[in-house]
Order: sequence, then structure tokens, then C-alpha cells
Amino acid sequence: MINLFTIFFAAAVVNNFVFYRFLGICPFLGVSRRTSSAVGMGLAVTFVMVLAGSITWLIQNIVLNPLQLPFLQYASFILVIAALVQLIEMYMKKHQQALYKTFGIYLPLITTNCAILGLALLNIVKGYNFIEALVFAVGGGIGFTLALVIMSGIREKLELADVPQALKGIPIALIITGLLALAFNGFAGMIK
Amino acid sequence: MANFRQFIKCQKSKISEHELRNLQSKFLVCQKASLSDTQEPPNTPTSSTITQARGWRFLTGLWHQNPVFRLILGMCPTLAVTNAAINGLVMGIATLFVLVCSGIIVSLIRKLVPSKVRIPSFIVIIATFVTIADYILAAAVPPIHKVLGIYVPLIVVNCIIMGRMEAFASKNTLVDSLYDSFGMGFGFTWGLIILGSIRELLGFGTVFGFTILGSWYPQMIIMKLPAGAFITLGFLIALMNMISKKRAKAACHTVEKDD
Repeated sequence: MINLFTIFFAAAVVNNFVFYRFLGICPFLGVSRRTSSAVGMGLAVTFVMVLAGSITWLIQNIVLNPLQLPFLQYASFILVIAALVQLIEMYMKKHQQALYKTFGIYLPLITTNCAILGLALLNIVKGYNFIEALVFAVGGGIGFTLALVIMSGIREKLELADVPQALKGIPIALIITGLLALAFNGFAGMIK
Repeated sequence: MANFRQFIKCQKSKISEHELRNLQSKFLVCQKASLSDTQEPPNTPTSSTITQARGWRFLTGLWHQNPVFRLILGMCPTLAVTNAAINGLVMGIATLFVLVCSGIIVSLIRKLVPSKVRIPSFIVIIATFVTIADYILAAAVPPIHKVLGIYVPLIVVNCIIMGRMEAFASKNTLVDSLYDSFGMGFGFTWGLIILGSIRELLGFGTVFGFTILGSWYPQMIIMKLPAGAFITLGFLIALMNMISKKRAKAACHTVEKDD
């Protein structure tokens, strides 16, 4: 139990996907302008992370490992993730209209989000069992949402600030991300 | 930049297929605008003008639409592996390899693949070459391969590669797409080397392992941390904005106005 909590806390805060592992920077910079859209995107990413993380774990351990096909790992993982996202989107559009309106619109952007593939690969690299992989996925997703929400709060205020012309937009967002990463660095050492 | 902004706008409203198509055409307009901005590619296809246009395409990737500083694509590897110049160089070459090889295949099969399944087929092609690059790196430079870790397989989801396949290689001939791939690949590589060199110099006092600043230099720990990557890249992009401010404005304003 302690072990699971450690994995969760490490994934969400200490080794945050955005601030520590540099995963999912594109959507992080793209969708962090409004807090409402940041929450939607974060939840969508968490949802897909959990599903994709567990399915790719099963593929690795049930198909690729017994058949000794490690070289198919990247191709199969990315295809499964792409297909999964498509499937979720189609299902939501048909049966879960309300849910689709809240975060379905972010789904197409998630396929090429490196956080998802990164999570699937990290699960394998770290040799987690299925439960640990699930907890890691939830932690990673929540960490991503946390980063997105913090950033969106700052950027909403930033629109009123007097930023030098050359720094406007992406550069200032990157510098703020750097400062946030520095703050998150304060958690380092809490968990080995 | 422009496609990025449009992208965000698109997310705010609902994404319909029509809007996406609109977005794509706008992106193309922006590309054209940035092309015609300084030099109009000639229309008559004589052999000398074709070479000129190809040379222009190559230079575009190097500077005008540099993936790292201008298009701001492929941020994960850019930020993650640049704590040393050599890591940036290796990552850049790996990306260049994948970009060129998949560009060749995609431009060769562009007429065979039905447009509805083109994205999955591109993904498979890219993933195949990433696997090859991964095995080559593991055999040739094991220590660096270990440092790069999961960021080598993450080349699969690097937006530059997919973007160039979709926007250029799938619509142009083999030779044209080679120029484009090499331009984008070298542009990405030098971006990574610059970023890596600055971080290595400030963080360790060395560049490519050679000592530049002596032992008197108090090493800046922030440059070794993730925070250093974000801050350095932020200032580098700002610098690039200052250098070519007018061009970027002209290229993107035309698109934003008619929105």
C-alpha cells in the first residue's frame, strides 16, 4: 500500500510529467490559456492515460514478451493508442453526449501527446506490475492536470501584464514553466 | 506559431471537420505568406528556378521555419535531452534519420495510399524507422542511448515528423521532400546543439566535453535541472523573435486578420 502511494505521489508531484519529464509540453503550452479548458484537457488526458497504460501493459506482457517481439513495441503501442483514442471518441459521441461536450473535443489532440506514449513506455521500463501501472497512470494524469491548471491560472493573469514584445506568447510561458519547475524541484528528495 | 494559435482557437470552439479543413488551408496560407515574405519563389519551372526553389526549401527549415525556434514543434526531446551538447547532437541526428527515411517512403507511396488511412500508415512507417534508429543508437553509442532513454522512442510522436509527412512529403516528389526533410532535420539538429551547448556551458563550464570555463567557474546548478531547459529555450525564442520580428509578424497577421 505504501509502495502504491509512493508511486502515485512520485508520478503526480515529485517527477511531474510536465515539469520533470518534459512530457506533453505541446498541449501544456497550447491549452493552458483558460482554466476551464485546462481542466477538460487534463481529465481527458488522465482518462486516456489510464486506459492506454493498462492496455499497452497487457500487450507487452501477454503478446510481445511471450512471443519475443520487442522490436514491435513502438509500432504496436502507438497504433493501439491511436485506435483507442478514435474508439473512445466515437463511443462518446454516440452514447455520452454530455461527457463528449466536456472533454471529447480534446480527444483528437491526445493521440500525438507524448505523455501517453511516454507513460506506456515508462510502465515497461520501470517493470511495474498491473496494479502499479494503473496507479502510475492515475498519478501521471493528475500531475499533468495539476500542471495545466496552475499554468492556466498564471496565464489568465499574464494577459493583463505588460510583457516585452519579444517575450510575448510562448517565450514567457516557457520561462514561467521554468520557474514552476524550479518550485516543483523542492519536492525532490522526498521520494527516492 | 500561426498554426499553433489557430490550433488553440480551434480547441476553444468545437472542432468540426469543416473547421479542421479551414485550419489546414489557413496554415498553408501562412506557410505561403512566410515563403513569399522575403523572396518570391519563381513560377516558371526552368531547371535553374527549380534548384533555387529547392535550395530555398532547405534554407526555410534551417532558419525561417526552424522547428525549435519558429514552429515550436517537438518540444519534449528539445527540452529533455539538451543538458549536454552531445546529447542534443545525437538526438538531432536520430530525428534527421527518421525524418529523411520516412520522407522518402511517404513521398514514394503517396499515390498508392488512400487518403483515409494515410495517418495510420505514416505512423507505422515512422515507428519502423524509429525502431531502427533506436537499435542503431544502442549498438553504436550505448552510453548516450542510455541517457536519452525513452526520448528515443518518443521520436514517434514528435510533431515535426508527422507534420512534415502530412504537410509536405505526402504531396511532393521524392527529391523535393528530401530537400524539405534535410532542411527541417538540420534545423532541428542545430537548434538542439545551440540549446545543449548553452546549458552545458553554463551548467558544467564545458561544451561537447571540452573545458571552456576553467575551474574558477561556479557551475550553475539550475542549468542542469529541468528548469534551466525551459528558461534557456524561452530566452532563445525571444531572441529569435527579436531578430526576425518583422517577418513573423507579416506571415501571421495576414492569417489572423481574416479569422
